[in-house]
Amino acid sequence: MKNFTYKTALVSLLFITIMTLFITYGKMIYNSPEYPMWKSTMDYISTNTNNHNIIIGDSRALVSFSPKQLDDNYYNLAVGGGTPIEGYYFLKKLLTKKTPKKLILSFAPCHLECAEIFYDRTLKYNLLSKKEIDEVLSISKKLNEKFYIPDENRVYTSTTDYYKEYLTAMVYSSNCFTVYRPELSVLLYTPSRPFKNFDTYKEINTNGGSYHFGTANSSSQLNIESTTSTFLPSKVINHYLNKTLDLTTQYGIEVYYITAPFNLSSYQNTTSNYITEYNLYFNKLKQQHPNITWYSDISFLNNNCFGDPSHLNTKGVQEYSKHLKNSILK
Amino acid sequence: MVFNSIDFAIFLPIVFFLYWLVTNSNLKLQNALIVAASYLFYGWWDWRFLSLILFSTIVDYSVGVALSKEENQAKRKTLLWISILINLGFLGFFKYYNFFLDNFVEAFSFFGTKINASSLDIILPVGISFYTFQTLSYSIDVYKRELEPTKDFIAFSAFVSFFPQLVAGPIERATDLLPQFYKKRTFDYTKAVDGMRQILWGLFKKVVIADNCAEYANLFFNNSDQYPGSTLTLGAIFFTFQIYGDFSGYSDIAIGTSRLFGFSLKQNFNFPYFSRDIAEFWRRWHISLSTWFRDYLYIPLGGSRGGTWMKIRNTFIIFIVSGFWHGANWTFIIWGALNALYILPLLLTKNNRNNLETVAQGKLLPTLKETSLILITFILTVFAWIFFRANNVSHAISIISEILSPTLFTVPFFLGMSKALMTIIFIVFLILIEWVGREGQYGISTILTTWNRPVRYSFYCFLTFLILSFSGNEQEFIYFQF
Repeated sequence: MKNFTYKTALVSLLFITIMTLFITYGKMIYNSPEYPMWKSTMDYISTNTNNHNIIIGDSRALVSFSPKQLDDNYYNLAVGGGTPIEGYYFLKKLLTKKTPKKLILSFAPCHLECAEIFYDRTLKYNLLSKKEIDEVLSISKKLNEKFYIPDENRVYTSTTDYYKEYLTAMVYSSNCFTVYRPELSVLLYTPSRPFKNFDTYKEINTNGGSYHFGTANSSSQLNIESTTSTFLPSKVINHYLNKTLDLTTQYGIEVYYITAPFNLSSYQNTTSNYITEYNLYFNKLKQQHPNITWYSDISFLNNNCFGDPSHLNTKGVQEYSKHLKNSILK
Repeated sequence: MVFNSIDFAIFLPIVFFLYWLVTNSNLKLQNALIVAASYLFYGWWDWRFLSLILFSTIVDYSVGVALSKEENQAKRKTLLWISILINLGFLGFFKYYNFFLDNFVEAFSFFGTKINASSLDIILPVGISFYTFQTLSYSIDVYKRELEPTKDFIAFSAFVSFFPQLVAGPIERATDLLPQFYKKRTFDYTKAVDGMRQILWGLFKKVVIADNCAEYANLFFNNSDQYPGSTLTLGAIFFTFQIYGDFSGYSDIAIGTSRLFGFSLKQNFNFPYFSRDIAEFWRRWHISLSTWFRDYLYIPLGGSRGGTWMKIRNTFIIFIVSGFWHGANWTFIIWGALNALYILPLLLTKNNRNNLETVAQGKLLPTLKETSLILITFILTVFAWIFFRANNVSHAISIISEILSPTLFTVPFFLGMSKALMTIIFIVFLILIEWVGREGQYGISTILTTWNRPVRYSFYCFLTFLILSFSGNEQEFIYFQF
């Protein structure tokens, strides 16, 4: 019995050790192609000391603001699925090393409503320390909002419910093997994944942090905002957006808040109610932060500037960069 | 509770340590722990149906005790029929009530009479077919005086509800399993290690093979009108491995778990896809059910005594009943009848007991003749599985028609082909390992013993890695529904 328990424990321990090492140090090998984009941002923040102006935002910002075409002095730290929560912690960490002169903040309206990737990217990619996770979840508890659920009904039903979420968050951020099961499974039948990840990482670094998603010549498909009629900003995300803006004021950073354009089809399909609610939300923010330069209105570009329903294609980036240089960042 | 769940991964070590460390000194306490653990295991799914198991246990225990006191043959027969009727009554109601009702209504409407009877919303209790057959074997064996009835209710309850094999077998005979509950069990290191190894192999078959095959089998069978014959053939092959991985995987986990607790259960699968004819296949597939039907139905019906026609009649009866045992649907009955048809030429030519030993015994590779026979048997089996998997008879016929059309020769194409390719690679891995280990009790029972420790441990880690990472979407064990 003793021998059996000992050997079973030994094999289990051996397995857990190997897997933990692989999970911890092999993230570029097994993770989805989103990971190299996040890693590039995290690496820049922890190592780069250049005095770049910074772009923080989501995937639309990652594509739309190309430092190569805009200004070489910019560096794009936007990440796919990013919300002001990630934006705040990126900026906070960056400020421990240097203070950028200018900052572009850009989030799609949907990323002000919900942080769907909080578990699957923010926590799994180890962006946040334990203390920071505590902070986010305590704000989530205080405001009684599960900000990562894309649903109106996202309140905590009990204290147990909150602790369950907290425990899940700890598991997700702990490099626990089971959390990575889907990625490991895909790796088994997509053995080229690590090579693609390293290529993506290299490409992002060469392009000043920017990346291309959509590759089509045109897209008339609808983005997520145009398929819903109400704009429901998240209380937690709003809290972090205000916190980020306060931080920039505190450090004297010149901030541009710019909303990346929709494709024409989505723009035409977005309800007036959605736009009114969205504008009301930003009017309040403008009053609270008068020192920020606001270009938050929903705008559009032709469908042939989009490679998919949400992201600009190469042509779109060229056109939009020209517009940014001539009208906004001149 | 299912074997491939976190719940079971927590449940098993707790019961294991309680069993060997806390209750080890007292046999009654150990048996009581098995009963408690088994009821918890079953109740995890739906506690309401525990009453059925308990009732069945009380009935058969009481019948056993009454039979031991009764010498009058007529009264003994009545007691046996009480047990049979109660057990089969439950089974009939929960499993077949709607089937018979619907068929009666359809039959009457065919002759112009409308009957207003609506089906009941009946939940089929998991494993009812398995524990019903197990308890029935007890009553029949006691009636036939082949087994001394037990006076130990706890031991009998443990026999009926023994959690490793409660919901999907192997269907154990009272003569084999019950006496094991009377004897003091001592921890056997070799047996326990072997049990762990068998659990690991069973999990691999269930989680990596069956659950991944299920994704494609479900996709192709559920949308069969959208796929050409070639893809549907692939779907049937995926289902062939799904059902094997699922059911034999379950049996491996059940047998392995039992070994951890010092029990020996029957081998339920003996590498059936390496069979050279259908008779051999049925000696190797779901052995505990086939032998149950042989001993309690085929032989009482006269077996092979009384000439060829009697043998053919009895064979058809047990295959059709076996098909019906699997589910209340004509597809299962046709599946059973089809297998009986496959066996018919072997019976008529008296070749049904030709291949009793393992194929290519002691050799690395089979001969060309053996390979051809294995392939033919496999194709026949795949064809029969189409009926087993189809939603209804017309669905099966439409699939077969498409398979037999020129679209059979098109290149299969569907979404997720790279994952399907990986699944095929693992199927090949399974076949290779099982071929090498075909003379053992399960796939890796003998081959690993010749490997040195680091290689062996690495292999365990590799299998665990596959189980945890390449598991398909979790599917319930197919045989739970039977």
